[in-house]
Amino acid sequence: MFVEKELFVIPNGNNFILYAPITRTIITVTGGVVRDLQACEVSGEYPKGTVCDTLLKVGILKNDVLLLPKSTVIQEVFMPTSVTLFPTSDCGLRCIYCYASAGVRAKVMDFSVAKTAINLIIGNAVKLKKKTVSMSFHGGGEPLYGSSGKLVHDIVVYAKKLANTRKLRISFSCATNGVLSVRQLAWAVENIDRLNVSVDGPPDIQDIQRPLKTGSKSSPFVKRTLAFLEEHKVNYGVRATITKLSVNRLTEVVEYISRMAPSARIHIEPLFSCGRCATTGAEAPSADSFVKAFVFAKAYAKKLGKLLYNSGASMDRCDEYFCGASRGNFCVTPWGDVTSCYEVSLPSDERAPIFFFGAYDPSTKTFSFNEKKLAKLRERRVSNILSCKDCFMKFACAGDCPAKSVSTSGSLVGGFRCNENRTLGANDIVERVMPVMK
Amino acid sequence: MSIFQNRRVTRLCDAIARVSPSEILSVVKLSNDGNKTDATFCFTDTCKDCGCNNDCKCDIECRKDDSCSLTHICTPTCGMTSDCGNEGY
Repeated sequence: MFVEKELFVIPNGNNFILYAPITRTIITVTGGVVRDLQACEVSGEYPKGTVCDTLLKVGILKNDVLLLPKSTVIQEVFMPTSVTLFPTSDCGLRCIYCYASAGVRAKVMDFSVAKTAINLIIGNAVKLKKKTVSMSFHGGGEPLYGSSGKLVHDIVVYAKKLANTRKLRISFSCATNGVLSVRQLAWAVENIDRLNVSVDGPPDIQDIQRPLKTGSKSSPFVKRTLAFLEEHKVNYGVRATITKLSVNRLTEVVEYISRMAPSARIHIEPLFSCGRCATTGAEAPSADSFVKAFVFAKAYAKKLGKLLYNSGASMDRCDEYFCGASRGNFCVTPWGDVTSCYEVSLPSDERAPIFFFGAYDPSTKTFSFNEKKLAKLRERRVSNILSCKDCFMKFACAGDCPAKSVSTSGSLVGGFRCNENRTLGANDIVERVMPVMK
Repeated sequence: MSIFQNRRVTRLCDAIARVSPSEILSVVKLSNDGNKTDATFCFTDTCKDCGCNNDCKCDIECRKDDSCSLTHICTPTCGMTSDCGNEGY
């Protein structure tokens, strides 16, 4: 008999919580079970009985030889069937913390770049006999801002037509700052399958953190957008960035979003100081203040029937990769560079040499990819990160954001908010057990 | 409300437990669908995108990600390699 390898123990009063992330189990046991399991790890035997039966049933004990995680790198040829386009670096907002300092260096993607990317993913889907392809539009800038809005419309028309010709299903998603005209909203409702709107909370917070480029308020526009999306029953989510300024009002932020956008999923992230923060003085919340605020806000959200998502501490995840940046996202910047990371979009970004792994060649109208760089990125999985080896959060945060790791440590594998993630994770585990224990 | 800061979480081998009767007090199965609210991942028993068989009966992740593109990746959780060719762990 074998004990599940990924098994963690949390003391809980006189008892213990066992957390097995891969078998998706949390159980509360007495100390005797912990000791029996420890003995079983050595002897391979566990006392027969109902406890043993239950441990077998939930996968903490196994009769078969354990299949250990493979740590080899995926070496497949890069043939993406989805693409994320960053159609512009321009934006109508001047968010005080913008990671891309959007609007400073305005560049709109050439249609030929987008067209080549679409041809590539659809061609790959046909070769791979896939039934679906997908496209996303994201920052640096606001995808639907100014002439980029027209570009995105043209891209969607072209992609739909080509996908239809090849009998492929195509889906579209788009991130937006929410400052959209009614005409743009109507278009988005008709053409985009999923929207993500950035909203930082009540108007006073929104207008300080996310002003229009004129310095005026963005909140009235965003409010109108949320009302429109609700009215049209759109599939969408809201992301709020929490700063030092707003952290003590996080519950209020959640209340506001829940009221204005009741059907939206809520994604909360603390600010990571970068980009425009250097000139605006926007500050990240302290780790402690964010953790406390998040725990309280999460409890409040639960009363409203909502759950808050945070990328570093979602216990419902079980993954070796934090995100597509190390899986090999195919993202194209306005300049035609291929990056795997949504946050690394500017050629001047010091992290570009790590995350840029290809480029559009206008002379041949093709993309070229550096497979070696891609393979290196794909090595960034939690089983390859030594410092994560014995962490119970390893499959929930999966080493956390690789781009922010590079920013803080110069390396793809440096943790930058491990304590926050662990505290939130342990808190989540205990909270899940408590109702059962009552 | 208490916040469980500084709670020590260890590997099984490092846990210190006294001798006591063996008893399981509660079992909670974590959902594999993110309680329908985790915007990043959902898990299904069979792979909807590529239709691969899920011979090992473990979870296969169908990525429906807004922030990281809609890449489909099969990730069996038991160590098997899924038969659509994508490597699990």
